[in-house]
Amino acid sequence: MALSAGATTELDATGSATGADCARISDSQMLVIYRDAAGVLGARVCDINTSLKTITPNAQSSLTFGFNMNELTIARLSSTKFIFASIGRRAAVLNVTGTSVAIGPIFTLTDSSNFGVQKLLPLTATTALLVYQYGTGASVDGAARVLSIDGSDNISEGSRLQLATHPTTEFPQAATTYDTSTGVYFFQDRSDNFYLKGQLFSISGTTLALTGGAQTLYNSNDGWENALAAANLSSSEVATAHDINDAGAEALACHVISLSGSTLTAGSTLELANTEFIEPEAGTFTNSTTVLFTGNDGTTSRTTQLIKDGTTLSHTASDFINVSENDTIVIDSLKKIADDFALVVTLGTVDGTVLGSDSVLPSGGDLTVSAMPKPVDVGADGDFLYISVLDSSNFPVLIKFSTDLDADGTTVFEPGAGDNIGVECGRFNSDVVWVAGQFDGTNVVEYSDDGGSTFSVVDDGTIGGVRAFVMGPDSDNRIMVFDEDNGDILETRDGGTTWTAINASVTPEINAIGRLGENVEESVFGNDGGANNSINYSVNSGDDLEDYQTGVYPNANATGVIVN
Amino acid sequence: MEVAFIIGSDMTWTARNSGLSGAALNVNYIVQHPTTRSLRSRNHELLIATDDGLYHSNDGGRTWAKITLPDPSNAEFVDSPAATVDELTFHWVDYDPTDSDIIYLLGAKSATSRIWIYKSSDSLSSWVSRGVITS
Repeated sequence: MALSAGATTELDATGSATGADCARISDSQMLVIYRDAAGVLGARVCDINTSLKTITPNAQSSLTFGFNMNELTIARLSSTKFIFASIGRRAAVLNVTGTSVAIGPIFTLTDSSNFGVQKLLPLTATTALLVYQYGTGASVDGAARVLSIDGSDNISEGSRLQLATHPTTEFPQAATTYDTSTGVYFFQDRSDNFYLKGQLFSISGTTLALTGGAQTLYNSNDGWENALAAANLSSSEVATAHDINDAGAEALACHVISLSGSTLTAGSTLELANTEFIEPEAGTFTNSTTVLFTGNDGTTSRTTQLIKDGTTLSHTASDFINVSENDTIVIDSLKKIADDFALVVTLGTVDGTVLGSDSVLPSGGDLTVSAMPKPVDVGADGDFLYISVLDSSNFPVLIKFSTDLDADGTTVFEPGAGDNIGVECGRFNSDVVWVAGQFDGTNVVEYSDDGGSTFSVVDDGTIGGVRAFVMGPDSDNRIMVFDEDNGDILETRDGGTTWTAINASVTPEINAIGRLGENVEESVFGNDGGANNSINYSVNSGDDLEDYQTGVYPNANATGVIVN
Repeated sequence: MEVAFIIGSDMTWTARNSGLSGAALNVNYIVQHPTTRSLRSRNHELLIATDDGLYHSNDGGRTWAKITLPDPSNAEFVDSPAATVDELTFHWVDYDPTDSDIIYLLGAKSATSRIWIYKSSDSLSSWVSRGVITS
């Protein structure tokens, strides 16, 4: 599956943010929290369109916190209730109502010195597992507690579980859960050949307890094995990433760590050579078959996906994708939005990027209606619709679409540049299709007599951008156009071979044209109003324009005309 | 704001907006029934595509009624969340040139750059839709 990143969206522009995290509200919304340069704890509900990989941030909720927020970690308890903790050893509940976020009472955690948040993992609707470091001077140890909330959003902490201690290991290390009753902590054992080890612990209510001793998982014999990231894949598998030294170059070693009974087993080693991921984040991506690792490799912020087959992870170099335009940015959060989609939050300014599979993205589905008043016409035989729209680059395209609505469309006209397009189909010949607007920077009218298979430029090269045009009604070879660049009304009666300027430099901006069937010279022009007429009537195809305003609302913008 | 007008026999313009309000007064396209166009204006059947949906008149625009449309198809886009009909603006409507019981309608959701074609084969009673993508 191909992975790609959507456009990076700025979520907070104050710059130099020092902490951020995100959490899933729903398949289409994420909550992002951050500490901005002004010291404000900001929270935004961000609307996510996974198909387009776009982020639309709602207004910031500025929350009163007042403590060190250099590390912020948030866990989802429900779609409306979240808990967060910070390096300032404080925690609080965040409640989401619509697009507003409110903070509950602030709780002060017991362990004070050198406190650092490593992970906050949701357990139940009222509890979360906090894995952290604390200690005095160089003696910094790993620990975990369960935080629980009551009906008033007051937080309390369970007893402390001591994890790996200094000098056995060096922090930070990695933690995750297999399920809500089994946690796992990965660390580098400096007292035992720097092995990567895993330590299981049980979770029962707010009580934590070690399960057996630490288990040796991996050793690359290079004296590193710093556990850096871990993500749950299922109740029996997690994925880890840890920093190693491969012949003098930093690399990331990745494993699936499976759990059977109380035994941890590392799958085969996948080494992402010469890839240093500074403080990487990890997240499950697609129903335990894919895991993402993201981080800054010292040069570029980027993400990669690892495909899991059993306990074997695989990767191709092309899977690395950049998620930031700024090479100095640090990735601070990676959370799953829905299957196949994840949100990465980076620091500097706070930015968000949606990562996702391309496999569900429709081809050519990113379309908008152009300014031309008639975006669609039906062929004379009723078999096809011709839809004139703007593509994802805002370039005009014409799509041929079966009226049975039983198949995707086919792009039959694609000039590659331009900014406006409309379509008229022949009334007598179902293979005749006219398009007019602004194409290629110079062409404005093109014609097809083979159902859109081929188009020919039929304007004379002097006509400016077409704002409105009408075909017939007595012949498929007659069209009248309004050239908005020059204010000219022009007509061809021979399929574009020759053009006649009927009226030059008219002041109204004509939106739509109607012509009588009985007397084609008799025409009605719907204009943009403003200082000009909203309606003009002509008995000679626009040569003489008669003010036809009586009863019209002042300055009315006439966008459509029908004549009878 | 664009407002629908119907010309009167005395060559002045008269607003005929009964049944239209709010976004329904933002009329993007108007079309008349290919058969009733030859009758007196009181008998004209008209359709307008508006920012608020599709509206129908069978009395030359003297009164308008909103046509109930289903939510657009999401099978082509697999958007999350799927678009709802209330989120769409309608830009064009027309009768099939070979069968005036068949009506086509273009709806768009600008926030997600999605476009749909709606089709009724029974004179506005029931509708199907398909998202416009290219293969």
